[in-house]
Amino acid sequence: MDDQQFSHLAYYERLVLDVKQQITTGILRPGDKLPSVREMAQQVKLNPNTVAKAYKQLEADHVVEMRPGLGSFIAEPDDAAQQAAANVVRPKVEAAVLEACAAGVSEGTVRGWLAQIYARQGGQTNGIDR
Amino acid sequence: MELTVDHLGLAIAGKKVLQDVSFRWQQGQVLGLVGRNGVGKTTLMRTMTDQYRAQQGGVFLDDAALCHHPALRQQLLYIDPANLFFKRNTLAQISRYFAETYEQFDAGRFARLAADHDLAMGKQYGELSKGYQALVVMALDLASNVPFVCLDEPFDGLDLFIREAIVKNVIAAVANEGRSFLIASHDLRELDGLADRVLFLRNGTISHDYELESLREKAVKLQLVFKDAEIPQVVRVHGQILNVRGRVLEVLFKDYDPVVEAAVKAAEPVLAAPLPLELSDLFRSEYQDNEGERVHG
Repeated sequence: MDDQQFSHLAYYERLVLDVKQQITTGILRPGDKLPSVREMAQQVKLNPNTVAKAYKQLEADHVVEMRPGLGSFIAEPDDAAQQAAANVVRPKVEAAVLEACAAGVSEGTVRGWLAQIYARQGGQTNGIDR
Repeated sequence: MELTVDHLGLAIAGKKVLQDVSFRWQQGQVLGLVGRNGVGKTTLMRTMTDQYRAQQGGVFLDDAALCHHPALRQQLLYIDPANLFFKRNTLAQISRYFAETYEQFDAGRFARLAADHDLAMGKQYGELSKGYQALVVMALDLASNVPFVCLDEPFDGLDLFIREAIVKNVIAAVANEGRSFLIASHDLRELDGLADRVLFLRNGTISHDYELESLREKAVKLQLVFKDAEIPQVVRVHGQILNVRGRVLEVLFKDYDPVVEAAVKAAEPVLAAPLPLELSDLFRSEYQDNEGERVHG
């Protein structure tokens, strides 16, 4: 949870991104069980209500599925869910690229940044090009 | 279950120490209580637990006033570090006293917690080091099984491992038992992340009641540099300047909506970078009295 990159976000948002990052880098794989809310709260030393909020967000994002009585598991990548997530992300990327344009950053530089970011995530997008 | 502090007021020697202190505390919630030294954090806890008799208002558990239902006081625990009756007692004696006062006190659990820290029950509390004393108080808090617990500076002067042990105990008690804590502390770093809400005490009253996670969703702290020495209108009106280093401003925007965001962009900052928003920033913005403005003339 000491990821400098995300440190301006709320703790629950950081935890959500943390789990997502662990999935893209392959540390967590589909079917893996996440620690329970109370275990996770202990591990990351956060208020259990904050951790519960992060888990709810992860479930809403279809990244994690709750199996009643068993716990939370990393979900299999689901085409429809990924499409929905992509639809949410796209305007954010557009806004960021627009800002880059306005600041006079060249397309080549932005592509370079993108390549770097994807490389940092282990090159795995486990998704389909859209 | 919910504990409500309702318009609590107290004057000591004619001086109003608490005025109209009101807040709600739901079971399972961790509340932080912060404020400058001497603002009345300890006094508030003492008044809530009736060491000081409130001259106005009261404390309610659900809808029952604690002053009219003394039995309900077993639901609220405050071990006042400045007024411990058990300094000269052994842990075994302390355990017996608590068992008599709090029906739900679990002596077995207290003994296990003491053993976890290699503390013998025959040890006198007053002979223990500061860190071990803090752990004994925490063990009493936990073993009491009281739902609402006040902690007064629980991290003060303790090393990293003992602070961690206390944080973990609080988290486990909230997660596993639905316990509730009110934590007065100057250790803003420990409170951050641990507290659901943070109450700011100022001039004897609650001046702010922040839900940190919700606040972080709409507030932002920016590092800004502008071309001109003049600070733009949007910063003066919507922001609070926390820090000034040469031309670099650190500004807190509590409500960073698209309008404010657009106005900041329109002011064409040379640099605008988000910084982590910490509890200490809120503390500074609450208590510095526009020092940033002054620095800038």
